[in-house]
Amino acid sequence: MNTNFNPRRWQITALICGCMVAACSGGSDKAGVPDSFNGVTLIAAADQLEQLVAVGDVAELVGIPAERIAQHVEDYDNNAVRKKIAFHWEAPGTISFTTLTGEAVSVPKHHSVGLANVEAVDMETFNQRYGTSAGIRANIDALVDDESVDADVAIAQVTYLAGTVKGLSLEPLEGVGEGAVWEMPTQVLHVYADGVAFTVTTNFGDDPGINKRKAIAFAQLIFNKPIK
Amino acid sequence: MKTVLIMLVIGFLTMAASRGKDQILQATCVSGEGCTFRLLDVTGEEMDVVLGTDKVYSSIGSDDLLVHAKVGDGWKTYIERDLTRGELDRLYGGDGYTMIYLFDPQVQPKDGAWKGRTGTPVASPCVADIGSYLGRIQGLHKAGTIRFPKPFKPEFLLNNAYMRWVTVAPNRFRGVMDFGGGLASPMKLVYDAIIVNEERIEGAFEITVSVPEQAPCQVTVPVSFDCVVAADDEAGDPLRESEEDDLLPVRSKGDPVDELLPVKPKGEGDDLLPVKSKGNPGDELLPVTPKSQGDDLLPVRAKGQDDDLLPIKPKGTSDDLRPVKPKKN
Repeated sequence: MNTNFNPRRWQITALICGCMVAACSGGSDKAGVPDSFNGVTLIAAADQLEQLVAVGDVAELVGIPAERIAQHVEDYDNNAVRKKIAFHWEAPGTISFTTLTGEAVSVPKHHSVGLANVEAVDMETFNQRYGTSAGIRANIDALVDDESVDADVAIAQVTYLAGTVKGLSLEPLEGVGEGAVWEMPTQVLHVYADGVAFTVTTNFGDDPGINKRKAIAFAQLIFNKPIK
Repeated sequence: MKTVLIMLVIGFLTMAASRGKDQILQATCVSGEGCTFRLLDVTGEEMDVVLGTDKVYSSIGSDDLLVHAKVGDGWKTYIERDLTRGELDRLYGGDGYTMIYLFDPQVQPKDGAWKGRTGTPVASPCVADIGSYLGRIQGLHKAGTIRFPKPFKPEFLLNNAYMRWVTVAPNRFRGVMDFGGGLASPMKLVYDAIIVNEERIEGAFEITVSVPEQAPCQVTVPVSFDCVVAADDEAGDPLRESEEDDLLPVRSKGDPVDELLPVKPKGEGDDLLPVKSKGNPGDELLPVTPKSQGDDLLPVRAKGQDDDLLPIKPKGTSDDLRPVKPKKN
């Protein structure tokens, strides 16, 4: 049995193991902005989010076949900035409940990753909106000022947002776009690059570490996507 | 407005209550799509009265959620007492960021030309004369163009100051008009309606008349509305010229072809529908499912029939006037 230590062999083994770990975790902690990325064209495509990302790319990111992934576009108020797209798939586990009529029901859990809040902003606005709680406070002010919103609804929503501010944690990330913030406990990634901001939403389960890595990988997908 | 709202918000936060104690927060959840939320404008007590349940909705606490979960093609309703809004949303695949919408975005019938029909009334043997009320319901069989309110509101189906509407499920509504102001009233009208899809609405009127020392007299009249021509926004709005003609009961455009169920009174002054008694086996009745058979919502589904509640084809009348345009995409 040959027990001689071979540093070169160990380096190669470590490199392979490192690559495998990176592949399994779904990406690195960086998402650089390539020269080909153009914020203006991303803004122009904001109204057609379903054409921005290919299901095949998401399937590769998630690690499941593309045919198991469905798309859902949320566009209830016809506002491109508030439009969201989510790619979702069946996850392990079920949701079980008993209906009001006593029927026991189980439905499969789902996971998702998505894109939202695509908007032209400058860096200062991005930092103010997503790097602090100012964005949520602005939403509260907007609700209070909007006389078309039912008072009961406004109160309930403002109370909810106020609770969100209390538990808010904002972590600036280096090497992701030109600026990025990881928001907890919502587990969303806000990214800025070339005059445009967007939000990556994640639901890969309860592990924030996995959600953050997948969100960064998804941001890289957006940067690398050639937009026509 | 702003000052008042701020004061109200501060008051709410001071009380550390997530929302008013009487208001129910309803979640509409679809697997993979997460949940949308809506604050109901009726209390749990009112829902129990309208839906005939005993302390079911009134037991919903201020931190609980009334959940409508889509299972297959239908909806299942339950009370979530443990999860927050965000947690529930993530459970169904959402991103965890939730908003309260002013409406339920799951349901919105198409604008366009709609045609209403009434089915064969089913009546229990009774002495009460409720024909005049059936005559009013008969008015629903007409056709016309409709521009639905956005968001859709059940009040649009029958807007009456005495009608109390509740949303039973995202696409199911129940309105109750209780002339006695309570369960022991002499007459009660219940209108169950379901938006089957964006081009079809089905429902049933149930009129109950209580007569002293007699069994209650009950009549059920199925109704349905179908979109025969959807408005085509891209090719111009065909409804512009008749925007005022947008309410149900659908107004007739005066086209005799649209009159699918012409009333032919049997005698002078007789404007009644020919109510058929349950006691006659040959009368082609819609066997209304009793409330007690599990489905507590719409007592209009015929036994042995999965879908078509209103198989009404008047003699000598073409059933399909105009084709429904195919869906876009």
